[in-house]
Amino acid sequence: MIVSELAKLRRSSLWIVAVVLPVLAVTAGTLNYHGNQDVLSSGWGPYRSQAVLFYGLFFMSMGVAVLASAAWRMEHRGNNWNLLMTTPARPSAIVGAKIVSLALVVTAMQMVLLVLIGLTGTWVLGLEGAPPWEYVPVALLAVVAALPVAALQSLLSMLIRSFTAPVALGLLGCALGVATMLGGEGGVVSYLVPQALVTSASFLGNGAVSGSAEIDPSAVGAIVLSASALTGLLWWLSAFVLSRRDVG
Amino acid sequence: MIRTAVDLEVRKTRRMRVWALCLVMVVAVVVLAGMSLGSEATRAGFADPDARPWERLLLNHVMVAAMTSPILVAVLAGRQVDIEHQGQGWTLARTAGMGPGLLCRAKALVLGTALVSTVVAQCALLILAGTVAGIEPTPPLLLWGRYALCLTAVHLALMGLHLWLAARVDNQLVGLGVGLLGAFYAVFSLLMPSWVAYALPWGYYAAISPLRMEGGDRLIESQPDPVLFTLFLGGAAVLFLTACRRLDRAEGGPA
Repeated sequence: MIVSELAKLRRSSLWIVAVVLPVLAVTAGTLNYHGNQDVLSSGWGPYRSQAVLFYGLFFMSMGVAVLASAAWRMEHRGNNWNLLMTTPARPSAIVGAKIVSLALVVTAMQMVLLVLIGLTGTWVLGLEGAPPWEYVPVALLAVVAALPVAALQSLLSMLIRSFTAPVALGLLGCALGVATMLGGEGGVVSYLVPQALVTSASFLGNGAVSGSAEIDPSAVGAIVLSASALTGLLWWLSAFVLSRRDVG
Repeated sequence: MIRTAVDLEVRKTRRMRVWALCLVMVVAVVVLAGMSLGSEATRAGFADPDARPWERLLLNHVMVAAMTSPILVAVLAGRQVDIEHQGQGWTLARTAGMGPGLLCRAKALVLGTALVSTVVAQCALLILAGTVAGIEPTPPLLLWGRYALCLTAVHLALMGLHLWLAARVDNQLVGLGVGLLGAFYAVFSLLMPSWVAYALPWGYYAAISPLRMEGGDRLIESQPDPVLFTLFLGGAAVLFLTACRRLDRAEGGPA
């Protein structure tokens, strides 16, 4: 089912968003770092901070929201919903395949971001040494943190036929996520808002953002635990709704 | 004929909860822009006019509006046009004597009203939030009002573009993707040299900023280049009306 989901996604124009978003993030981060070298300290850390600043804050979650809408769009078209419902697959498998395929696209998005940060840092900005190895696990942690966002947006896109309405709700989620995380008073709540998890994971070890945690086992563990629990819950809820309600 | 079309569009907005979407966006902008009002460091300067607390709040509004407005415009345009694609609305309207161009103009009028209301609500709620939080100096209403006017104008110009895009391309992923990338461009234009803001339509969300930072932490007043801004708005209006006329003349639906 995952392969067929990826085949469906390949036919949509969604790969453009998945590639162009990290390209824009790195381009803007590079220009900003280059233009403010007298203000910023030099090195890989400040450069990565600039590249993921708005990306982690807002655009990664919004990108996932658009991807989820695109993933469910074809099911709402024509008679595809009826076809989907008559397949022998269980609701949990249908929803799971959507979430896993979205996770794979997000992984590709993160890899593009990582490779571009390494290439531009080395070849364009001439930063000393190799990019720190910690960037790879942090990028993968952001994929784990994006799973509940993918699950939530998948649920919304499944329930709402409109392509754009779930994205608008995702924007509200981003606002809540940023407010709970950067407001400094979110506490446990910041681990319950999916979009806040993406921001927390993207900003691990990021000196440019106040309130971001260091890369340590407790911070990583809290994000992984929260992301797993939220994803499981939203997956179950989506399957439950799909099995009980005619949402097509 | 345009009055009938506008009347129909108003009815569609009710069914599609356009006003609820606008409310969501207003809440998102007010929450993001007003977030700093709770921090101790910001509150320390509430009584000090030299700390310019209102101007800092306005600058937050500019940044958050640049980050979210392109998505808001793309979402509203996409939602209002997608129903025509899904329900054969173009053909139905054509049989009633209303071409796709006329329909797009009616949509622009209705969504334009929604966008104006959204901007007014954002500004009013942010000023209210600042007052309730305890900012003591008088709010710079003239500066804020000028920004609201410019923001509305940029909203309307980009809405024309997104309506045309949503009408021409059946897949709403394209319009929303363009809006998302436009938002990225808009917010980074705030950090780039000013010419970057004038290079693409979304950059005007940064160009209209009424304030800018100078020398690290000093806020100074600023305004968009009047010639370029007028050319942008005039060009957008002419292109939208021309595109609508072409849509009316084309056979079949616009996509």
